[in-house]
Amino acid sequence: MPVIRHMLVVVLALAIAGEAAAQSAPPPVYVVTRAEITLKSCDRPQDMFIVIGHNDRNEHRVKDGDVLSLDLDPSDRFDAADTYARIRFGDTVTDCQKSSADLDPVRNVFIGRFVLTCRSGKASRLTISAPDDVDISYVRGMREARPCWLGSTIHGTGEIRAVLFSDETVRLQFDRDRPDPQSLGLLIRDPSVLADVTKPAVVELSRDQIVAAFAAQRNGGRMSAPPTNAPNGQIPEQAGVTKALTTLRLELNRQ
Amino acid sequence: MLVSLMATAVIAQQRPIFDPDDFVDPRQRQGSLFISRVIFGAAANFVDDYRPAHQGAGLIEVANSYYGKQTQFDYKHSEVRGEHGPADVFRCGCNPPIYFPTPAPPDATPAAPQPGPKDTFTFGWYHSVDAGPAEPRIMLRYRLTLSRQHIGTDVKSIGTQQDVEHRSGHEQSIGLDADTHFRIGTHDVWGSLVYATTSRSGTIDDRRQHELSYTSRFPGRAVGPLLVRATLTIGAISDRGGRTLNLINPAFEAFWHNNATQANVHLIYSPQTLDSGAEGWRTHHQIALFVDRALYVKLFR
Repeated sequence: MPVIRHMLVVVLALAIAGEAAAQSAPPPVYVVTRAEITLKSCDRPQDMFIVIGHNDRNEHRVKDGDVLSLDLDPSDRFDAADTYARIRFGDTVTDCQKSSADLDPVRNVFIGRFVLTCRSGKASRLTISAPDDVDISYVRGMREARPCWLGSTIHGTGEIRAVLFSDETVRLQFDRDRPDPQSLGLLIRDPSVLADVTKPAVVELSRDQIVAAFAAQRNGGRMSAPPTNAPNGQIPEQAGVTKALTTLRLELNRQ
Repeated sequence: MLVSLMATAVIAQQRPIFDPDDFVDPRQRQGSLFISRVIFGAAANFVDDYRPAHQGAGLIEVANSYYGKQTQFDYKHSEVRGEHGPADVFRCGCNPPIYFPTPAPPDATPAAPQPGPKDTFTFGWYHSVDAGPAEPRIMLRYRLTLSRQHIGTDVKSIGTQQDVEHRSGHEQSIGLDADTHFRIGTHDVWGSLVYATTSRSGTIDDRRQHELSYTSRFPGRAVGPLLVRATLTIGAISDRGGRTLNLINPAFEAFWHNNATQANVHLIYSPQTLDSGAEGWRTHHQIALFVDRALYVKLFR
């Protein structure tokens, strides 16, 4: 009897382990070679660009036709299970959604189907100007979908396109050579930087003013940590903003 | 129940009013960090750990902080000097001896220890929690603080005025504090929950107190070049009679950073209202003005 009981326990343990292994197996990979887009709540626009993945510069023009679509280059193909996309056109942007993958039995490829909804509100264009030898990374994120962040690095001067400040936050990272969504950064829409993002504006900040803006945002509890005036907190902020950044110019315009 | 009640309403007074916050978010840096900082200043109506000193005080402190990946270690040495210097303590020739001035009774707010040197060690641990889909994770800090202060007392004879006794005592304190965060609607509510126990021995006025308090840390704002902020502490301090909830302490701080000198100037107004069985509610208007500056900084990448 003890032998039978022992065997039953072993069988039960193997069954539980097998079930756990099955549950933890990685999901199948659907490499999408073509994207098809359904737009909701917006007029059919011209000159649409889709941004797939996290690189804000990775824009693709969407083909207009019976179906809004995009054939992807091999380097842009993605796994439908983990990639988000959003569309921008004119001063309108959509939300950010993951695709579902369908097999096209004729061409034997996966089609990523995005259903994107236009957001209300007008998007803005933010031009960042810094000395040529200064790199500034940025991370932008939709408030309602954290995985859907976009980012890039600006070398000297560059644009952040189609920012819908009512729906998304933009943080400038001065100490990163690539955007890092896990790191903090200087919030653009903030009394210490750009208080009013509803109309065109130009702001110039010196390096000291950038460091002071970080301090103001920490003091205001807007750095994802308790409000603090901690003097030690200034040190990494001062070290993170290169002395080469003598002036940072931010220009906000309608998209 | 008591904790949740307090969660509606400080600054950890185990650390003196002069001690600037030393929170450094690990996400702000890419390596370890060491900072040695000097702090000096003065306070009117100095209050030490919720015990009024009934005098002003001056302070100089050197704070050494090391920030690791998610951790923080501090060693701080402070020298506090009272406005009036140490009070003379007398003893009668009776048995048992009676000391003058007589210590506060058990149901009264104890006297603060005579201002002097103090050593403080802190271990801090940073931990991030999810902030919902919209924002980066919330970074909170948890700290263990140990402090020790030597208290030497020379006792004179009330008859001869000669030194008849020397007492070598000390006060030590251990405290835990945890940052807290929750949301009401779209508003972030930041705070710190603090528990500390302080005991004094080897003196003519040996006392012990336990503190449980909650500090609500309101978001600050910029007013010109100044950063201003407010905190509100509500708490319970044991061994002084009166009500259980016997501490109400709003505090207002103005902070100014000078780019040329890299010094920071702090002005803090901290009216502490304390209750005790013998005295009832009393408010002590503590005002501190102090300056801090980094002496040495090393970033390890």
